[in-house]
Amino acid sequence: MTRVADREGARTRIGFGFGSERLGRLASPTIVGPLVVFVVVVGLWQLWVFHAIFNIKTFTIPYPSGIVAGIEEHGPRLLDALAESMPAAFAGYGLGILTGFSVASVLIVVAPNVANRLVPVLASVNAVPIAALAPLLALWVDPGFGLKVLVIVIMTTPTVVVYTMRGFINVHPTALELMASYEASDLTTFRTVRVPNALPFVLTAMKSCVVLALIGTIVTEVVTGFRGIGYVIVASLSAFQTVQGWLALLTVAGIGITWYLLVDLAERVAVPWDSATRRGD
Amino acid sequence: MSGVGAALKVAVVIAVVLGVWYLGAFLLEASGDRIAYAKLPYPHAILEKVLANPGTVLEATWETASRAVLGFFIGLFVGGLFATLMVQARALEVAFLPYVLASQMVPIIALVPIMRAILREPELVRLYLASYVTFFIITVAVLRGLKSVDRNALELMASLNAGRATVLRALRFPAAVPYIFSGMRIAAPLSLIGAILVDLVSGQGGLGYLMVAAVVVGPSQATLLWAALLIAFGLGILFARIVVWVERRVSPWQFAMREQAA
Repeated sequence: MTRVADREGARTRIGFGFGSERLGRLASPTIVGPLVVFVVVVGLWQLWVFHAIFNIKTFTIPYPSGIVAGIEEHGPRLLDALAESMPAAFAGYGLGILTGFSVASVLIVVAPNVANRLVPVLASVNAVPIAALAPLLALWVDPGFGLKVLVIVIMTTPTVVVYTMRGFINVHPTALELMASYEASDLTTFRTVRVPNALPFVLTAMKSCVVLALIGTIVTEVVTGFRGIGYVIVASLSAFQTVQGWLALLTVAGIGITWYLLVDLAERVAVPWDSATRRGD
Repeated sequence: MSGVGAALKVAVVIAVVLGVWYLGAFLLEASGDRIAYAKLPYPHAILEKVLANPGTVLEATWETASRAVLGFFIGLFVGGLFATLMVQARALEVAFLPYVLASQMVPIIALVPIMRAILREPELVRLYLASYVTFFIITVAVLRGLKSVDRNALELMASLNAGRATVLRALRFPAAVPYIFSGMRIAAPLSLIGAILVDLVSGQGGLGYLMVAAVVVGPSQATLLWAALLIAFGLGILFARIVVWVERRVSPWQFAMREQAA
Protein backbone atom coordinates (compact mmCIF):
# COMPACT_ATOMS: atom_id res chain seq x y z
CA MET A 1 0.00 0.00 0.00
CA THR A 2 2.76 2.40 0.96
CA ARG A 3 4.60 1.45 -2.18
CA VAL A 4 1.64 2.44 -4.29
CA ALA A 5 1.26 5.73 -2.47
CA ASP A 6 4.91 6.53 -3.00
CA ARG A 7 4.63 5.86 -6.68
CA GLU A 8 1.58 8.10 -7.02
CA GLY A 9 3.37 10.85 -5.16
CA ALA A 10 6.46 10.54 -7.33
CA ARG A 11 4.41 10.74 -10.50
CA THR A 12 2.65 13.88 -9.36
CA ARG A 13 5.96 15.46 -8.37
CA ILE A 14 7.58 14.67 -11.67
CA GLY A 15 4.63 15.95 -13.67
CA PHE A 16 3.97 19.16 -11.84
CA GLY A 17 7.11 19.63 -9.83
CA PHE A 18 7.78 23.03 -11.32
CA GLY A 19 4.49 24.60 -10.31
CA SER A 20 3.20 25.81 -7.01
CA GLU A 21 1.58 23.43 -4.53
CA ARG A 22 -1.80 24.71 -5.58
CA LEU A 23 -1.29 23.95 -9.25
CA GLY A 24 -0.16 20.45 -8.30
CA ARG A 25 -3.35 19.96 -6.33
CA LEU A 26 -5.56 21.22 -9.11
CA ALA A 27 -3.91 18.97 -11.64
CA SER A 28 -4.06 15.96 -9.32
CA PRO A 29 -5.51 12.77 -10.84
CA THR A 30 -8.76 13.10 -8.83
CA ILE A 31 -9.69 16.07 -11.00
CA VAL A 32 -7.99 15.22 -14.28
CA GLY A 33 -9.32 11.64 -14.40
CA PRO A 34 -13.05 12.43 -14.27
CA LEU A 35 -12.49 15.38 -16.62
CA VAL A 36 -10.89 13.09 -19.21
CA VAL A 37 -13.85 10.70 -18.96
CA PHE A 38 -16.27 13.58 -19.42
CA VAL A 39 -14.48 14.96 -22.48
CA VAL A 40 -14.19 11.52 -24.09
CA VAL A 41 -17.84 10.60 -23.52
CA VAL A 42 -19.25 13.94 -24.68
CA GLY A 43 -16.82 13.94 -27.62
CA LEU A 44 -17.85 10.47 -28.80
CA TRP A 45 -21.49 11.45 -28.37
CA GLN A 46 -21.01 14.62 -30.42
CA LEU A 47 -19.10 12.70 -33.10
CA TRP A 48 -21.99 10.30 -33.83
CA VAL A 49 -20.23 7.30 -32.33
CA PHE A 50 -23.00 6.29 -29.92
CA HIS A 51 -25.68 7.02 -32.49
CA ALA A 52 -23.92 4.77 -34.96
CA ILE A 53 -23.38 1.90 -32.51
CA PHE A 54 -26.94 1.82 -31.15
CA ASN A 55 -28.54 2.96 -34.39
CA ILE A 56 -30.16 5.94 -32.68
CA LYS A 57 -31.85 8.74 -34.57
CA THR A 58 -31.25 12.35 -33.56
CA PHE A 59 -34.95 12.82 -32.88
CA THR A 60 -34.70 10.33 -30.01
CA ILE A 61 -31.36 11.46 -28.62
CA PRO A 62 -29.93 14.86 -29.63
CA TYR A 63 -26.28 15.87 -29.77
CA PRO A 64 -24.64 17.75 -26.90
CA SER A 65 -24.31 20.83 -29.13
CA GLY A 66 -28.03 20.66 -29.88
CA ILE A 67 -28.85 20.46 -26.18
CA VAL A 68 -26.71 23.48 -25.36
CA ALA A 69 -28.26 25.40 -28.29
CA GLY A 70 -31.74 24.63 -26.93
CA ILE A 71 -31.18 26.38 -23.61
CA GLU A 72 -32.44 29.69 -24.93
CA GLU A 73 -35.58 28.26 -26.54
CA HIS A 74 -36.66 25.91 -23.77
CA GLY A 75 -35.22 27.73 -20.76
CA PRO A 76 -38.38 29.66 -19.81
CA ARG A 77 -40.63 26.60 -19.89
CA LEU A 78 -38.15 24.65 -17.76
CA LEU A 79 -37.96 27.47 -15.23
CA ASP A 80 -41.76 27.47 -15.01
CA ALA A 81 -41.76 23.74 -14.44
CA LEU A 82 -39.05 24.02 -11.80
CA ALA A 83 -40.98 26.75 -10.03
CA GLU A 84 -43.85 24.27 -9.87
CA SER A 85 -41.80 21.30 -8.67
CA MET A 86 -38.93 22.45 -6.52
CA PRO A 87 -40.88 24.20 -3.73
CA ALA A 88 -42.74 20.94 -3.16
CA ALA A 89 -39.51 18.94 -3.23
CA PHE A 90 -37.83 21.25 -0.70
CA ALA A 91 -40.92 21.45 1.51
CA GLY A 92 -41.36 17.68 1.51
CA TYR A 93 -37.68 17.16 2.22
CA GLY A 94 -37.65 19.58 5.13
CA LEU A 95 -40.90 18.31 6.57
CA GLY A 96 -39.82 14.67 6.19
CA ILE A 97 -36.57 15.27 8.06
CA LEU A 98 -38.36 17.23 10.75
CA THR A 99 -40.99 14.51 11.12
CA GLY A 100 -38.39 11.75 11.21
CA PHE A 101 -36.29 13.54 13.81
CA SER A 102 -39.33 14.36 15.96
CA VAL A 103 -40.66 10.80 15.85
CA ALA A 104 -37.26 9.41 16.82
CA SER A 105 -36.87 11.99 19.62
CA VAL A 106 -40.29 11.31 21.13
CA LEU A 107 -39.73 7.56 20.94
CA ILE A 108 -36.30 7.61 22.57
CA VAL A 109 -37.46 9.84 25.44
CA VAL A 110 -40.88 8.31 26.05
CA ALA A 111 -40.28 4.63 25.26
CA PRO A 112 -36.61 3.75 24.75
CA ASN A 113 -37.32 0.01 24.74
CA VAL A 114 -39.94 0.25 22.02
CA ALA A 115 -37.63 2.54 20.06
CA ASN A 116 -34.87 -0.03 20.14
CA ARG A 117 -37.11 -2.70 18.69
CA LEU A 118 -38.70 -0.41 16.14
CA VAL A 119 -35.47 0.24 14.25
CA PRO A 120 -35.32 -3.10 12.38
CA VAL A 121 -39.04 -2.86 11.57
CA LEU A 122 -38.64 0.62 10.11
CA ALA A 123 -35.47 -0.41 8.29
CA SER A 124 -37.51 -3.05 6.46
CA VAL A 125 -39.70 -0.25 5.12
CA ASN A 126 -36.74 0.54 2.88
CA ALA A 127 -37.44 -2.77 1.16
CA VAL A 128 -40.81 -1.44 0.05
CA PRO A 129 -41.34 0.56 -3.13
CA ILE A 130 -42.84 3.58 -1.37
CA ALA A 131 -42.78 5.58 -4.58
CA ALA A 132 -45.54 3.27 -5.78
CA LEU A 133 -47.80 4.81 -3.14
CA ALA A 134 -48.13 7.97 -5.23
CA PRO A 135 -51.07 6.72 -7.35
CA LEU A 136 -52.84 5.48 -4.24
CA LEU A 137 -52.38 8.70 -2.31
CA ALA A 138 -53.74 10.55 -5.33
CA LEU A 139 -57.14 9.08 -4.39
CA TRP A 140 -56.91 10.70 -0.97
CA VAL A 141 -55.31 14.05 -1.70
CA ASP A 142 -55.90 16.26 -4.71
CA PRO A 143 -52.91 16.25 -7.04
CA GLY A 144 -50.64 19.22 -6.63
CA PHE A 145 -48.32 20.70 -4.06
CA GLY A 146 -49.82 18.91 -1.07
CA LEU A 147 -49.73 15.47 -2.66
CA LYS A 148 -46.09 15.84 -3.64
CA VAL A 149 -45.14 16.95 -0.15
CA LEU A 150 -47.07 14.04 1.34
CA VAL A 151 -45.39 11.47 -0.90
CA ILE A 152 -41.94 12.84 -0.09
CA VAL A 153 -42.65 12.93 3.64
CA ILE A 154 -43.78 9.30 3.55
CA MET A 155 -40.70 8.34 1.53
CA THR A 156 -38.14 10.15 3.68
CA THR A 157 -39.46 9.82 7.24
CA PRO A 158 -38.57 6.13 7.84
CA THR A 159 -34.99 6.67 6.66
CA VAL A 160 -34.56 9.64 8.97
CA VAL A 161 -36.08 7.79 11.93
CA VAL A 162 -33.79 4.80 11.43
CA TYR A 163 -30.60 6.85 11.17
CA THR A 164 -31.51 9.26 13.98
CA MET A 165 -32.43 6.39 16.26
CA ARG A 166 -29.12 4.73 15.54
CA GLY A 167 -27.41 7.97 16.57
CA PHE A 168 -29.49 8.21 19.77
CA ILE A 169 -28.75 4.61 20.73
CA ASN A 170 -25.06 4.38 19.80
CA VAL A 171 -23.91 6.71 22.58
CA HIS A 172 -20.89 5.88 24.63
CA PRO A 173 -22.01 3.94 27.73
CA THR A 174 -19.64 5.91 29.96
CA ALA A 175 -21.33 9.14 28.87
CA LEU A 176 -24.66 7.70 30.00
CA GLU A 177 -23.11 6.55 33.29
CA LEU A 178 -21.68 10.00 33.85
CA MET A 179 -25.08 11.57 33.26
CA ALA A 180 -26.60 9.05 35.64
CA SER A 181 -24.02 9.97 38.30
CA TYR A 182 -25.11 13.61 37.92
CA GLU A 183 -28.69 12.43 38.40
CA ALA A 184 -29.46 14.16 35.14
CA SER A 185 -33.01 13.77 33.87
CA ASP A 186 -33.76 11.80 30.73
CA LEU A 187 -34.46 15.04 28.97
CA THR A 188 -31.10 16.56 29.92
CA THR A 189 -29.31 13.40 28.82
CA PHE A 190 -31.22 13.57 25.58
CA ARG A 191 -30.30 17.17 24.97
CA THR A 192 -26.65 17.08 25.99
CA VAL A 193 -25.60 13.54 25.02
CA ARG A 194 -27.95 11.95 22.54
CA VAL A 195 -28.72 14.86 20.20
CA PRO A 196 -25.07 15.84 19.58
CA ASN A 197 -24.25 12.16 19.07
CA ALA A 198 -27.06 11.76 16.54
CA LEU A 199 -26.11 14.81 14.49
CA PRO A 200 -23.76 12.99 12.06
CA PHE A 201 -26.37 10.26 11.61
CA VAL A 202 -29.07 12.81 10.83
CA LEU A 203 -26.82 14.41 8.24
CA THR A 204 -26.16 11.04 6.61
CA ALA A 205 -29.92 10.50 6.43
CA MET A 206 -30.30 13.95 4.91
CA LYS A 207 -27.88 12.94 2.18
CA SER A 208 -29.80 9.80 1.27
CA CYS A 209 -33.08 11.71 1.34
CA VAL A 210 -32.07 14.18 -1.38
CA VAL A 211 -32.62 11.69 -4.17
CA LEU A 212 -35.78 10.38 -2.48
CA ALA A 213 -37.26 13.87 -2.53
CA LEU A 214 -36.54 14.23 -6.25
CA ILE A 215 -37.90 10.78 -7.08
CA GLY A 216 -41.01 11.48 -5.01
CA THR A 217 -41.63 14.73 -6.87
CA ILE A 218 -41.12 13.23 -10.31
CA VAL A 219 -43.11 10.05 -9.70
CA THR A 220 -46.04 12.05 -8.37
CA GLU A 221 -45.98 14.40 -11.33
CA VAL A 222 -45.68 11.57 -13.84
CA VAL A 223 -48.52 9.59 -12.34
CA THR A 224 -51.00 12.34 -11.52
CA GLY A 225 -50.06 15.74 -12.79
CA PHE A 226 -49.84 17.66 -15.98
CA ARG A 227 -47.31 20.18 -14.73
CA GLY A 228 -43.88 20.27 -13.20
CA ILE A 229 -40.46 19.09 -14.22
CA GLY A 230 -41.26 15.37 -13.99
CA TYR A 231 -44.13 15.77 -16.41
CA VAL A 232 -41.96 17.84 -18.77
CA ILE A 233 -39.30 15.13 -18.86
CA VAL A 234 -41.65 12.28 -19.64
CA ALA A 235 -44.01 14.18 -21.89
CA SER A 236 -41.37 15.83 -24.04
CA LEU A 237 -39.32 12.67 -24.44
CA SER A 238 -42.44 10.71 -25.39
CA ALA A 239 -43.41 13.41 -27.89
CA PHE A 240 -39.92 13.45 -29.43
CA GLN A 241 -39.23 16.96 -28.13
CA THR A 242 -35.95 15.48 -27.07
CA VAL A 243 -33.88 18.61 -26.64
CA GLN A 244 -36.34 19.92 -24.09
CA GLY A 245 -36.52 16.53 -22.39
CA TRP A 246 -32.76 16.20 -22.13
CA LEU A 247 -32.40 19.73 -20.83
CA ALA A 248 -35.00 18.98 -18.17
CA LEU A 249 -33.29 15.73 -17.26
CA LEU A 250 -29.84 17.32 -17.01
CA THR A 251 -31.30 20.15 -14.93
CA VAL A 252 -32.82 17.68 -12.47
CA ALA A 253 -29.57 15.73 -12.31
CA GLY A 254 -27.67 18.95 -11.72
CA ILE A 255 -30.07 20.02 -8.98
CA GLY A 256 -29.76 16.61 -7.33
CA ILE A 257 -25.98 16.67 -7.33
CA THR A 258 -25.76 20.31 -6.18
CA TRP A 259 -28.28 19.67 -3.42
CA TYR A 260 -26.33 16.63 -2.27
CA LEU A 261 -23.05 18.54 -2.29
CA LEU A 262 -24.64 21.34 -0.24
CA VAL A 263 -25.74 18.85 2.42
CA ASP A 264 -22.28 17.32 2.28
CA LEU A 265 -20.79 20.77 2.82
CA ALA A 266 -23.16 21.36 5.72
CA GLU A 267 -21.98 18.07 7.18
CA ARG A 268 -18.35 19.09 6.96
CA VAL A 269 -19.12 22.39 8.67
CA ALA A 270 -21.45 20.99 11.33
CA VAL A 271 -19.59 17.81 12.26
CA PRO A 272 -16.02 18.30 11.04
CA TRP A 273 -14.68 15.62 13.41
CA ASP A 274 -16.92 12.92 12.00
CA SER A 275 -16.61 13.67 8.29
CA ALA A 276 -12.84 13.94 8.71
CA THR A 277 -12.59 10.43 10.12
CA ARG A 278 -14.93 9.06 7.50
CA ARG A 279 -13.11 10.63 4.60
CA GLY A 280 -10.26 8.25 5.38
CA ASP A 281 -12.08 5.16 4.11
CA MET B 1 -38.59 -22.61 19.99
CA SER B 2 -37.59 -19.14 18.97
CA GLY B 3 -38.86 -19.92 15.47
CA VAL B 4 -42.33 -20.60 16.86
CA GLY B 5 -42.15 -17.46 18.99
CA ALA B 6 -41.16 -15.33 16.00
CA ALA B 7 -43.94 -16.82 13.88
CA LEU B 8 -46.43 -16.06 16.65
CA LYS B 9 -45.20 -12.47 16.83
CA VAL B 10 -45.60 -12.03 13.09
CA ALA B 11 -49.10 -13.51 13.29
CA VAL B 12 -50.04 -11.08 16.05
CA VAL B 13 -48.70 -8.12 14.06
CA ILE B 14 -50.64 -9.22 10.97
CA ALA B 15 -53.81 -9.66 13.03
CA VAL B 16 -53.46 -6.18 14.54
CA VAL B 17 -52.83 -4.60 11.14
CA LEU B 18 -55.84 -6.36 9.64
CA GLY B 19 -57.99 -5.32 12.60
CA VAL B 20 -57.04 -1.66 12.29
CA TRP B 21 -57.52 -1.89 8.53
CA TYR B 22 -61.05 -3.30 8.83
CA LEU B 23 -61.95 -0.68 11.41
CA GLY B 24 -60.61 2.10 9.21
CA ALA B 25 -62.39 0.81 6.14
CA PHE B 26 -65.62 0.47 8.10
CA LEU B 27 -65.40 3.97 9.53
CA LEU B 28 -64.61 5.43 6.12
CA GLU B 29 -67.59 3.65 4.56
CA ALA B 30 -69.83 4.72 7.42
CA SER B 31 -68.73 8.33 6.94
CA GLY B 32 -70.49 8.23 3.58
CA ASP B 33 -67.46 8.69 1.36
CA ARG B 34 -68.54 7.86 -2.17
CA ILE B 35 -65.23 6.29 -3.19
CA ALA B 36 -64.48 4.66 0.15
CA TYR B 37 -64.17 1.34 -1.67
CA ALA B 38 -61.22 2.85 -3.55
CA LYS B 39 -59.58 4.92 -0.84
CA LEU B 40 -59.42 2.09 1.66
CA PRO B 41 -61.08 -1.12 0.48
CA TYR B 42 -61.73 -4.02 2.82
CA PRO B 43 -58.93 -6.58 2.69
CA HIS B 44 -61.35 -9.26 1.51
CA ALA B 45 -62.43 -7.04 -1.39
CA ILE B 46 -58.82 -6.92 -2.57
CA LEU B 47 -58.51 -10.66 -2.22
CA GLU B 48 -61.74 -11.14 -4.19
CA LYS B 49 -60.43 -8.90 -6.94
CA VAL B 50 -57.21 -10.89 -7.15
CA LEU B 51 -59.08 -14.19 -7.21
CA ALA B 52 -61.43 -12.85 -9.87
CA ASN B 53 -58.48 -11.94 -12.14
CA PRO B 54 -55.83 -14.46 -11.22
CA GLY B 55 -54.28 -14.43 -14.68
CA THR B 56 -53.78 -10.67 -14.86
CA VAL B 57 -52.28 -10.38 -11.41
CA LEU B 58 -50.04 -13.41 -11.71
CA GLU B 59 -48.77 -12.36 -15.10
CA ALA B 60 -47.99 -8.84 -13.90
CA THR B 61 -46.24 -10.15 -10.81
CA TRP B 62 -44.21 -12.59 -12.85
CA GLU B 63 -43.27 -9.94 -15.41
CA THR B 64 -42.04 -7.51 -12.77
CA ALA B 65 -40.39 -10.00 -10.42
CA SER B 66 -38.56 -11.97 -13.12
CA ARG B 67 -37.13 -8.79 -14.68
CA ALA B 68 -36.15 -7.52 -11.26
CA VAL B 69 -34.34 -10.74 -10.35
CA LEU B 70 -32.57 -11.02 -13.69
CA GLY B 71 -31.61 -7.34 -13.62
CA PHE B 72 -30.37 -7.77 -10.06
CA PHE B 73 -28.00 -10.55 -11.08
CA ILE B 74 -26.74 -8.67 -14.12
CA GLY B 75 -26.09 -5.60 -11.94
CA LEU B 76 -24.42 -7.78 -9.31
CA PHE B 77 -22.11 -9.36 -11.85
CA VAL B 78 -21.19 -6.18 -13.72
CA GLY B 79 -20.86 -4.16 -10.51
CA GLY B 80 -18.62 -6.78 -8.90
CA LEU B 81 -16.47 -6.97 -12.01
CA PHE B 82 -16.18 -3.20 -12.26
CA ALA B 83 -15.22 -2.82 -8.60
CA THR B 84 -12.58 -5.56 -8.97
CA LEU B 85 -11.11 -3.74 -11.96
CA MET B 86 -11.12 -0.44 -10.07
CA VAL B 87 -9.14 -2.00 -7.24
CA GLN B 88 -6.57 -3.26 -9.76
CA ALA B 89 -6.07 0.08 -11.46
CA ARG B 90 -6.33 3.18 -9.34
CA ALA B 91 -6.60 5.42 -12.40
CA LEU B 92 -9.87 3.68 -13.26
CA GLU B 93 -11.25 4.26 -9.77
CA VAL B 94 -10.23 7.91 -9.74
CA ALA B 95 -11.73 8.56 -13.17
CA PHE B 96 -15.05 6.72 -12.78
CA LEU B 97 -15.97 6.69 -9.10
CA PRO B 98 -17.25 10.29 -9.06
CA TYR B 99 -19.69 9.35 -11.85
CA VAL B 100 -20.80 6.22 -10.04
CA LEU B 101 -21.57 8.35 -6.98
CA ALA B 102 -23.16 11.18 -8.95
CA SER B 103 -25.45 8.89 -10.90
CA GLN B 104 -27.01 7.74 -7.64
CA MET B 105 -28.20 11.32 -7.26
CA VAL B 106 -30.06 11.21 -10.57
CA PRO B 107 -33.68 10.18 -10.12
CA ILE B 108 -33.86 6.91 -12.03
CA ILE B 109 -37.45 7.40 -13.10
CA ALA B 110 -36.33 10.23 -15.38
CA LEU B 111 -34.07 7.81 -17.23
CA VAL B 112 -36.97 5.61 -18.33
CA PRO B 113 -37.95 7.59 -21.45
CA ILE B 114 -34.32 7.87 -22.55
CA MET B 115 -33.62 4.19 -22.19
CA ARG B 116 -36.83 3.53 -24.05
CA ALA B 117 -35.49 5.61 -26.92
CA ILE B 118 -32.23 3.67 -26.98
CA LEU B 119 -33.39 0.14 -26.26
CA ARG B 120 -36.92 0.34 -27.69
CA GLU B 121 -37.98 -3.03 -26.23
CA PRO B 122 -39.91 -2.44 -22.98
CA GLU B 123 -38.57 -5.75 -21.69
CA LEU B 124 -35.01 -4.54 -22.10
CA VAL B 125 -35.77 -1.20 -20.48
CA ARG B 126 -37.11 -2.95 -17.40
CA LEU B 127 -34.10 -5.23 -17.28
CA TYR B 128 -31.76 -2.31 -17.77
CA LEU B 129 -33.23 -0.21 -15.00
CA ALA B 130 -33.35 -3.08 -12.52
CA SER B 131 -29.68 -3.81 -13.19
CA TYR B 132 -28.72 -0.12 -13.27
CA VAL B 133 -29.95 0.43 -9.72
CA THR B 134 -28.18 -2.71 -8.53
CA PHE B 135 -24.99 -1.91 -10.36
CA PHE B 136 -24.18 1.33 -8.54
CA ILE B 137 -24.93 0.08 -5.08
CA ILE B 138 -22.97 -3.13 -5.63
CA THR B 139 -20.01 -1.32 -7.20
CA VAL B 140 -19.66 1.03 -4.24
CA ALA B 141 -20.18 -1.76 -1.70
CA VAL B 142 -17.75 -4.21 -3.34
CA LEU B 143 -15.13 -1.51 -3.82
CA ARG B 144 -15.32 -0.56 -0.18
CA GLY B 145 -15.13 -4.24 0.76
CA LEU B 146 -12.15 -5.00 -1.44
CA LYS B 147 -10.33 -2.01 0.02
CA SER B 148 -11.19 -2.89 3.59
CA VAL B 149 -8.31 -5.37 3.88
CA ASP B 150 -5.75 -4.97 6.59
CA ARG B 151 -2.69 -3.03 5.45
CA ASN B 152 -0.37 -5.44 7.25
CA ALA B 153 -1.94 -8.37 5.42
CA LEU B 154 -1.29 -6.62 2.11
CA GLU B 155 2.32 -6.04 3.07
CA LEU B 156 2.66 -9.68 4.06
CA MET B 157 1.30 -10.69 0.66
CA ALA B 158 3.80 -8.36 -1.01
CA SER B 159 6.67 -9.85 1.00
CA LEU B 160 5.53 -13.32 -0.08
CA ASN B 161 5.66 -12.08 -3.67
CA ALA B 162 2.00 -13.00 -4.16
CA GLY B 163 0.49 -12.14 -7.54
CA ARG B 164 -2.60 -9.96 -8.05
CA ALA B 165 -4.83 -12.99 -8.51
CA THR B 166 -3.67 -14.52 -5.25
CA VAL B 167 -4.18 -11.28 -3.34
CA LEU B 168 -7.70 -11.04 -4.73
CA ARG B 169 -8.61 -14.63 -3.97
CA ALA B 170 -6.97 -15.05 -0.59
CA LEU B 171 -7.37 -11.56 0.84
CA ARG B 172 -9.66 -9.13 -0.93
CA PHE B 173 -12.64 -11.29 -1.83
CA PRO B 174 -13.05 -12.80 1.65
CA ALA B 175 -12.80 -9.31 3.14
CA ALA B 176 -15.47 -8.04 0.77
CA VAL B 177 -18.08 -10.70 1.56
CA PRO B 178 -19.94 -8.81 4.32
CA TYR B 179 -19.89 -5.61 2.25
CA ILE B 180 -21.27 -7.43 -0.79
CA PHE B 181 -24.13 -8.80 1.26
CA SER B 182 -25.07 -5.49 2.82
CA GLY B 183 -25.02 -3.99 -0.66
CA MET B 184 -27.20 -6.81 -1.94
CA ARG B 185 -29.68 -6.32 0.89
CA ILE B 186 -30.19 -2.72 -0.18
CA ALA B 187 -30.07 -3.44 -3.91
CA ALA B 188 -32.48 -6.41 -4.06
CA PRO B 189 -35.65 -4.46 -3.25
CA LEU B 190 -34.41 -1.50 -5.27
CA SER B 191 -34.14 -3.67 -8.38
CA LEU B 192 -37.83 -4.35 -7.89
CA ILE B 193 -38.54 -0.63 -7.60
CA GLY B 194 -36.57 -0.08 -10.80
CA ALA B 195 -38.70 -2.59 -12.67
CA ILE B 196 -41.92 -1.08 -11.29
CA LEU B 197 -40.96 2.50 -12.11
CA VAL B 198 -40.49 1.57 -15.77
CA ASP B 199 -44.07 0.33 -15.91
CA LEU B 200 -45.33 3.39 -14.06
CA VAL B 201 -43.93 5.59 -16.82
CA SER B 202 -44.33 3.55 -19.95
CA GLY B 203 -47.29 1.38 -19.00
CA GLN B 204 -46.62 -1.81 -20.92
CA GLY B 205 -47.43 -4.39 -18.29
CA GLY B 206 -46.31 -5.60 -14.91
CA LEU B 207 -47.23 -4.38 -11.45
CA GLY B 208 -46.44 -0.75 -12.23
CA TYR B 209 -48.92 -0.84 -15.07
CA LEU B 210 -51.63 -2.22 -12.81
CA MET B 211 -50.99 0.68 -10.46
CA VAL B 212 -51.11 3.42 -13.03
CA ALA B 213 -54.09 1.83 -14.81
CA ALA B 214 -56.09 2.24 -11.63
CA VAL B 215 -55.46 5.97 -11.73
CA VAL B 216 -56.14 6.31 -15.44
CA VAL B 217 -59.27 4.18 -15.47
CA GLY B 218 -60.54 5.70 -12.26
CA PRO B 219 -61.44 4.58 -8.77
CA SER B 220 -63.27 1.51 -10.04
CA GLN B 221 -59.94 -0.22 -10.58
CA ALA B 222 -58.49 0.89 -7.26
CA THR B 223 -58.74 -2.52 -5.63
CA LEU B 224 -56.37 -3.76 -8.31
CA LEU B 225 -54.02 -0.91 -7.40
CA TRP B 226 -54.12 -2.00 -3.78
CA ALA B 227 -53.44 -5.58 -4.78
CA ALA B 228 -50.45 -4.56 -6.92
CA LEU B 229 -49.13 -2.42 -4.09
CA LEU B 230 -49.43 -5.18 -1.51
CA ILE B 231 -47.74 -7.66 -3.84
CA ALA B 232 -44.92 -5.18 -4.42
CA PHE B 233 -44.53 -4.70 -0.65
CA GLY B 234 -44.45 -8.46 -0.14
CA LEU B 235 -41.95 -9.05 -2.93
CA GLY B 236 -39.66 -6.29 -1.62
CA ILE B 237 -39.55 -7.80 1.85
CA LEU B 238 -39.18 -11.30 0.38
CA PHE B 239 -36.19 -10.22 -1.73
CA ALA B 240 -34.43 -8.68 1.27
CA ARG B 241 -35.13 -11.79 3.36
CA ILE B 242 -33.74 -14.11 0.70
CA VAL B 243 -30.48 -12.15 0.71
CA VAL B 244 -30.30 -12.43 4.51
CA TRP B 245 -31.00 -16.16 4.27
CA VAL B 246 -28.26 -16.68 1.69
CA GLU B 247 -25.85 -14.62 3.76
CA ARG B 248 -26.51 -16.81 6.77
CA ARG B 249 -25.65 -19.88 4.67
CA VAL B 250 -22.59 -18.43 2.98
CA SER B 251 -20.93 -16.62 5.86
CA PRO B 252 -22.54 -17.59 9.15
CA TRP B 253 -19.62 -16.17 11.16
CA GLN B 254 -20.01 -12.66 9.71
CA PHE B 255 -23.72 -12.79 10.21
CA ALA B 256 -23.40 -13.74 13.88
CA MET B 257 -20.95 -10.91 14.42
CA ARG B 258 -23.23 -8.34 12.87
CA GLU B 259 -26.26 -9.56 14.78
CA GLN B 260 -24.29 -9.09 17.99
CA ALA B 261 -23.16 -5.64 17.00
CA ALA B 262 -26.70 -4.58 16.14
